[in-house]
Amino acid sequence: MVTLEHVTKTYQKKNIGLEDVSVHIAPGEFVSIVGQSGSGKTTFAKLVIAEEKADRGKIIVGGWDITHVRHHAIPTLRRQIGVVFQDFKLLPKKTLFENVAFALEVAGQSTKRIASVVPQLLKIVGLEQKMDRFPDQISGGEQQRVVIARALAHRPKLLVADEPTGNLDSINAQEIIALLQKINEFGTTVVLVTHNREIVNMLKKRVITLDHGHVIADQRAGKYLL
Amino acid sequence: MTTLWRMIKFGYQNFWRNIWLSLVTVLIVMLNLFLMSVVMGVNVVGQQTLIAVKQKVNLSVFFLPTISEQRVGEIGKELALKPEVASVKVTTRAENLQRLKNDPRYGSLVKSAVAELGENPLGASLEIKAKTLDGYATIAGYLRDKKYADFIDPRNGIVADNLQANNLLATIVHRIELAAAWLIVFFGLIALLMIFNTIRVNIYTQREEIGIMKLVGASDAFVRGPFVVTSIMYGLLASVLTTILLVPLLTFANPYFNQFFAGYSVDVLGYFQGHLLIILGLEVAVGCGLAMLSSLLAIGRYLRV
Ligand SMILES: Nc1ncnc2c1ncn2[C@@H]1O[C@H](COP(=O)(O)OP(=O)(O)OP(=O)(O)O)[C@@H](O)[C@H]1O
Ligand SMILES: [Mg+2]
Repeated sequence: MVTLEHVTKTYQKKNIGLEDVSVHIAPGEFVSIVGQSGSGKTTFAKLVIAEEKADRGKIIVGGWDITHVRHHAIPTLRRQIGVVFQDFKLLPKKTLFENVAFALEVAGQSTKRIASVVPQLLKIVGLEQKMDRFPDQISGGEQQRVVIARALAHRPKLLVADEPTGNLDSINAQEIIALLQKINEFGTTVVLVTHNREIVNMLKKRVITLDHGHVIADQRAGKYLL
Repeated sequence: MTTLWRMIKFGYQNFWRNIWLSLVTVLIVMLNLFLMSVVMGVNVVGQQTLIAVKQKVNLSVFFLPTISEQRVGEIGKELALKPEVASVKVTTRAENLQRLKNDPRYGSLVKSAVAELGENPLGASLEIKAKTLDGYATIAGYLRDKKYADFIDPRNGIVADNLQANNLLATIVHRIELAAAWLIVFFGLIALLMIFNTIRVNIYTQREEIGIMKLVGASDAFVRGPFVVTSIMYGLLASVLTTILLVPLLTFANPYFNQFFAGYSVDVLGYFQGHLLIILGLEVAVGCGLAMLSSLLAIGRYLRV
């Protein structure tokens, strides 16, 4: 589902994001990416969704070589990947329904389809009862579930989540992880970037550990190393 | 279709979300469109006056009283064949006398002089209109030819009515034209900058939405479209309002215009009313054109997709 071959990404001023990273993630996998702050986890996620471009190496997502993806093809790629990023929260002036609908609207889906799909998506994350509320009328954990519902809007084969539990207490975090597991069970490949030792150890899934832009460990049913 | 409709919807939302900014933008664009219209109007009035005065320009040729009206008529026909000549009108001796008698300045003097002489001392005359202003000099040249010169009153037989006034006016109108062009560019630039800045602010306020749109796979056109829609709303609103505003203003000012142009066929309000649709179309075209241009510039500069 995701393949990186000798990928290097250097930011301005020689800031190393990733250096000579090779990783293969098979369809249906649930992979955690861990590492200290600044180790390149977000860079990894951004490369996969073509938010950043690699300086060297090759990146293949869903059988599509996106190393030199054309600018106008990026929307097509994004509609195949669900994205949960720290800095892409809900729009405060839209209801939960509208927030999820937004992802379908901007991709040109018909109003009729949106009306039927959005409640289904909110049902997956257990919030179909609250779809007329605004983001500030629900808890942080619930907000994050809506973000996940939005990421699922295009029924992606791949879900990339960068610290989805970042600001949540452990109970809420557990719920989010359970949700991601459920999504994974339905066949979506999940790439989870996290700091949370507890979660990683509980998951008992594949763990890729980054350090200073290098892969220093890749365990099948791993534990949080650092 | 749905996509276009949604872009319009989002653009409309942009407009309302920054309503005060939108209002100020529309007002300033209106002001500039208005000033552009005034400048354009002055220009048009100048042209119209020039046309009106041109119609009053002609060459009067007074023949000696000894030359028969028939001969004058023949000369008139000859001249009418010249390429520069637009029209030739013969005025008989009696008509010339009558005209002079009716002139309050000379009337009584002329009447007593005629009574003393016992006959009409005036010759027949030709009133010649040239096709172009330059033509008058050429025509005057023909008349100075020996062929005609002997028949014509040597003192002031050839009179170019209003030609000098017209030349002066032409110079002025030409200068106005030039100034108008610069002013229009200037006001257009201000309107452009205003919309540009507003769209920049709009983009800034919408940056969260824009980020999400891109992340969930909105096409570039869809991310940009709403801002173009918003700015077209500014342009459209400003231009329509400006045109509407011009109606009462011109109605109010019309009596003054009429006073100013008394005797000339210059009708500012009439022109405006007669060309209302064209003027509205022009305002809208200029307003929306500026809006499109400035939003595209702002998007290109501040909305890196
Ligand atoms: N836009 C950027 N410009 C310059 N340097 C950057 C940029 N983004 C990231 N970096 C640098 O690249 C390196 C990797 O950053 P990255 O964001 O991938 O780390 P991370 O593992 O996600 O960290 P965190 O756990 O704090 O989120 C860091 O040294 C960072 O300073
Ligand atoms: Mg990060």
